[in-house]
Amino acid sequence: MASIGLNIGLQALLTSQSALDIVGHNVANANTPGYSRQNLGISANGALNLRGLSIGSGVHADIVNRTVDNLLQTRLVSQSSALARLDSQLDVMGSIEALLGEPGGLGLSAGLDSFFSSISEFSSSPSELVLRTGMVQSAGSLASQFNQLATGLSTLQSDTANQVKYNIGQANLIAQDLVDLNGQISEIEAAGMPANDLRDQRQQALQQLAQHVDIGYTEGSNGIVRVTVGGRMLVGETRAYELKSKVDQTGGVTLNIEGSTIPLNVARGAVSGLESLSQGYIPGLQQNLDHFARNFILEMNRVHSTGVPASGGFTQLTAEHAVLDQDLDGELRDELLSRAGLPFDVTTGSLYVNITNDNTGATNTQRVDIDSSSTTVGQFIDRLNEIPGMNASLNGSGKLQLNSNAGVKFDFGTRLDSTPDEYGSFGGGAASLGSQGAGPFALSNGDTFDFTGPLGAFSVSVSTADFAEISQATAAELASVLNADANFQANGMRAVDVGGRLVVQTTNSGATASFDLTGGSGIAALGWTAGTTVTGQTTSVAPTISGSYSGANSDQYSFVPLGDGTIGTTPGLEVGVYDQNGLLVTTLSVGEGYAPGTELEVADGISVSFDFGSLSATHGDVFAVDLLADSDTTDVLVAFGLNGLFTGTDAATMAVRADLENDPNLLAASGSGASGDNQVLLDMLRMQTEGLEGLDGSSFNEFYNDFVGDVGFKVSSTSNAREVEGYLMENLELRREQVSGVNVDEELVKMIEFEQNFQAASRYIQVVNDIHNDLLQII
Amino acid sequence: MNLRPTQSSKFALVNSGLSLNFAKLALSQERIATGKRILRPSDDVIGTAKSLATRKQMSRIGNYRDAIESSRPYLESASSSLQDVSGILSEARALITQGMSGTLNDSDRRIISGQIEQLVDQLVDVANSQFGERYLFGGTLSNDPPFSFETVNGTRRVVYHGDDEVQRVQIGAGTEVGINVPGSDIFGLFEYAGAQLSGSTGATLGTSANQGTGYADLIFRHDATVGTPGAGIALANGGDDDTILQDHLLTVDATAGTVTLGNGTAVPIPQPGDADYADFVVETADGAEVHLDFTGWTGVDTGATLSGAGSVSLDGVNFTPLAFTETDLELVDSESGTVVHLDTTNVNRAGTELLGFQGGVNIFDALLGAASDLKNSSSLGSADFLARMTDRLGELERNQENALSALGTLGARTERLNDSAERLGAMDVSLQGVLSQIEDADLATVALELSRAEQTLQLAQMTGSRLLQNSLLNFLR
Repeated sequence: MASIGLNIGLQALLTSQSALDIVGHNVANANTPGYSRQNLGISANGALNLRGLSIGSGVHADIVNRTVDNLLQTRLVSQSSALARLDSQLDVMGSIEALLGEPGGLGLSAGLDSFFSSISEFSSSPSELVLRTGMVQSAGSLASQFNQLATGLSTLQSDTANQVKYNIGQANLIAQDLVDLNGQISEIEAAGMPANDLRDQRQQALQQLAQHVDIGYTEGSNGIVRVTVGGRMLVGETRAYELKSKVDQTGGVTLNIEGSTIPLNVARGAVSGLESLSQGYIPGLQQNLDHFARNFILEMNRVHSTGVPASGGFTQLTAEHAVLDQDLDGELRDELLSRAGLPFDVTTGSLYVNITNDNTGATNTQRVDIDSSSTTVGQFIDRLNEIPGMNASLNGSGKLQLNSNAGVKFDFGTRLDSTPDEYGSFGGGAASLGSQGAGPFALSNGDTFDFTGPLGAFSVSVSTADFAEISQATAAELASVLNADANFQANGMRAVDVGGRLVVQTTNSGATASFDLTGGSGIAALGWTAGTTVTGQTTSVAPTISGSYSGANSDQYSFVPLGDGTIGTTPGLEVGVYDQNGLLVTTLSVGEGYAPGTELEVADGISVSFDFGSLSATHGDVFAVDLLADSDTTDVLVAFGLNGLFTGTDAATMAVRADLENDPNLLAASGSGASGDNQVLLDMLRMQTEGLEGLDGSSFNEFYNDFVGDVGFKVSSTSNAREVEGYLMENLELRREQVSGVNVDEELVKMIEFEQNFQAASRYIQVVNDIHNDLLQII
Repeated sequence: MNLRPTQSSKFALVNSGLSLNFAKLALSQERIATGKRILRPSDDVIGTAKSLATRKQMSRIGNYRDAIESSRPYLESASSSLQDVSGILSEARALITQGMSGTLNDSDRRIISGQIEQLVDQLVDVANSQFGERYLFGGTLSNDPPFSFETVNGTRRVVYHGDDEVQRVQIGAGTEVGINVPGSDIFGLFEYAGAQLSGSTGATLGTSANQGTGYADLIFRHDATVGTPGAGIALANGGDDDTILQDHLLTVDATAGTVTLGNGTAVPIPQPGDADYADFVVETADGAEVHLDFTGWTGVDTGATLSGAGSVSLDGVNFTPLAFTETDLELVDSESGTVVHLDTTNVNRAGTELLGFQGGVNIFDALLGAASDLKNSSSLGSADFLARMTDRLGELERNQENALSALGTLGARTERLNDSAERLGAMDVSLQGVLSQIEDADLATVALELSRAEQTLQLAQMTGSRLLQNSLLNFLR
């Protein structure tokens, strides 16, 4: 009996001691992260049948329990994944935000402001060299701001990629730890012992791993946890599979796991956050910035390329961008102009080239038509070479090179040709006969034109081969047929295309210049009658154009007299003005009452004046003037990089044209070449607020504001999400603390409880012992 | 609900409370220190967009104001130059009027002519005025002097080298204003009203239109006198000194002792021994002269038709013989571009016609012409002289009006710049207000936030320190 009593007491003592040990362990680990409170499972021993009574045989300690909520742990793991993703993103985005430096005086916005300020300042004193240099310099600093932003973004992208690598490395280390922990736990638990503290460590490791990559995990019956990433095994029963990252050329990162080449999709965790930045967001920003820079370069160069530098027209220009051999046949000239590898698009339209004589200052404007679907590089170059005084070729590196002959300069300005009647076909001194209307003319094969010149009669015949379509013969085609004729040349005659009309004239002028149109089968198509004699005159009407064209689209006005008569003399003499579609623009009264030399307003800001002389509608007098709203509607100058302000095609490559930076006089501020003309500058200033097609109708400012706003919005929404997720995490951690955390007071209460228990058990043993002694004394 | 608070959760709670309040405090402090509410785009995305747009607008307004400020002195300096022009022209008009007075002798007129020439020099100086390095009246060709003296057909003229363009500056979105008036609009704005001949040769303009600017001298030259006076009277010096053109009847009335040429008045026949006996001048009412030598006069009456052959020249070099039947004779001076058509049927004497293109004379031509007329007044008849001077004075008045209207244009442009500057200034102030509202921290609010954050932090610290001290251990002995 006594031994039973002592045994009960001993077990009570031992149990209390174990409980006190666990209290001590709990208190000791009160601040250990991930530690789960442990407690001792105690149960009463079975009853013994003594003295006909069923008497309990004391207490024993069963097991050390770990208080843990597994569901909560799982949620904590996944929540830390979500949080880590946002944390990693916020970090990088903060850097992007700092890189932009907005709002304030340091960002690109301020750079744009100062660029446009310098233009505005220069435009009010366009002959000041200091302001000219200032504008070039501020263009340079704007370009370098673009460069810095581009470099900053790509550095951030590569940094982000490196961070992904670092995170992957950490994840692999933790995976290795997990394998070790799995082994120890299964070993201990196979022996029937709970591996409480190791499990806590493993849980902690899982949570850390989840911060790097988004994981899923399941625990097997043997206590081993398997971890998967994106559906692929990361930690198996016996080994970990290595995560690998690859950084591609564009700075994007791809992940895969050992034994598989399929890219891994990770939705959460720091790696996914960084990956989405380096693969999606930062490239998106770079793309937007490049798009912005590209359009900025395009628009500024569009305006600048048609300007004239302070140093006057050009004698030599070399393109920035080379033509590329797209069809790889070793021949560059056969490339379609719009698909010749040039960085900017070439569209259908016209380029106007002005050739100015150095001595006389006379300007000859020539139109070069480009059809984006058919014009080849070779055709374009050939057409440029047709312009008198102009030489175009591709240099060894495939870049277009333009040179002018000695004594002439070329430019692409929108200036008016003030003396447009270059052939004297409008009451000029030469004997001149114009067609009665603009082409095309319905000729047929073998049609003849019979003339009598100073050397006698001759006939010129045309054949189908001379025309693209003989029934639709153009004035230019017919002119080249006539000009190629030996008799025609020998008689001192020439044929020219004036505003689509064919004009045949003598090369010399004065009252002695004369020829006859005697007949021919082709003359009716041109509205001519046989037996027409034309004679030159001593006075020349020499029309003069003034003003500046304000129309929205480029046009060509043809001026033709509506009757025969003398300027300022013949009653009712009128000149009709037709646009390039043949529609009447206006009629001008130049007969009796008109004082020769008086300016008459035509339309759209231009005026014309006529000198004394006679006009003949019968002889088809005509002159045409090109009115340029935009001297390059094709963007071919921008595409080749001719006379641009900026070079480069995106934010990283943008720069001020090198020769222009060295010599600010090459800055083409003027539309006419006059020192005080600031047309180009004013056009640039207008671009500041204009909605641009390339930017989907936004202006530069609006687009850039969107760009900045987008970053700001992303940062603020990420930071809001971070706040919410952080709160959730805190909440979950609190819940975990509630379940598994150690309350020292609670432990102290338990300690007192078991201390008292221990004392009671000691007392009980003493009592049992006393009883024994009492009994022994009796003996 | 925290049902089972633990040590860690107690610490975490205090910790997170403290850091939250610290963050609030730091934010308030940053806002107070910078005075800005938005420091990075994420602080307020919409506010950032607004702030960027407002800043952009302010920068543009700044540009416009700068452009206005740098253009204003240019305009003002042009205005003051034009006031000088107006003064010079008034003085010139006074001198010309004075010179027209019949009481002056030739040398007086030469002095006045010299004074006018000086005024022209002054005027060219003013027309070439510069502001900084820029010439004010050259249109957009502002790097070189726009006016210079040149000799055209032997006449001193002032030639314009500028262009007719107006230089513009941007003073608002889509608003550009001119900041100059080209010299061609001030010193030579032409309103052609046709050509006019002043002189007494009897020539008139033909039927066709005429072309030119300024003045030109149309010289009718007497080449020879055809016909014999009769009664032994000879043509003195072979008729070379005569000025008659076309046919004129010479009547010698021995009874009355008079000689008459055409419609001229009868004059007494000279007596032998008179100084002009061998070279006696008879003239028509129009001043066409015949020089007669009476030495061989037989003393009888005679009546004969004398005919003057002649030619005409526009440039003083090339002469066109006259048949006196031309109704539309075309004369061309290719150097000056002048074309004139003449009716010569009524030409009856040699002489110089002043061909003037009304409304086509610039200030300099009018003044230089007047100066030259004053200098040569003795060789011009007084009627011719007055007609020429009146014509020049008229052109001068027209030009003075042009200069005044240019002055008005400049004034209006200055006014416009001033108005814009004022409006832009007001806009700038209001935009600054807008920007401040968007970007700037409201100091009172932020200060309040700061002190609240400070208070909360102190409270959190106090409660933390109190709470963390509480433990059962304190009571275990």
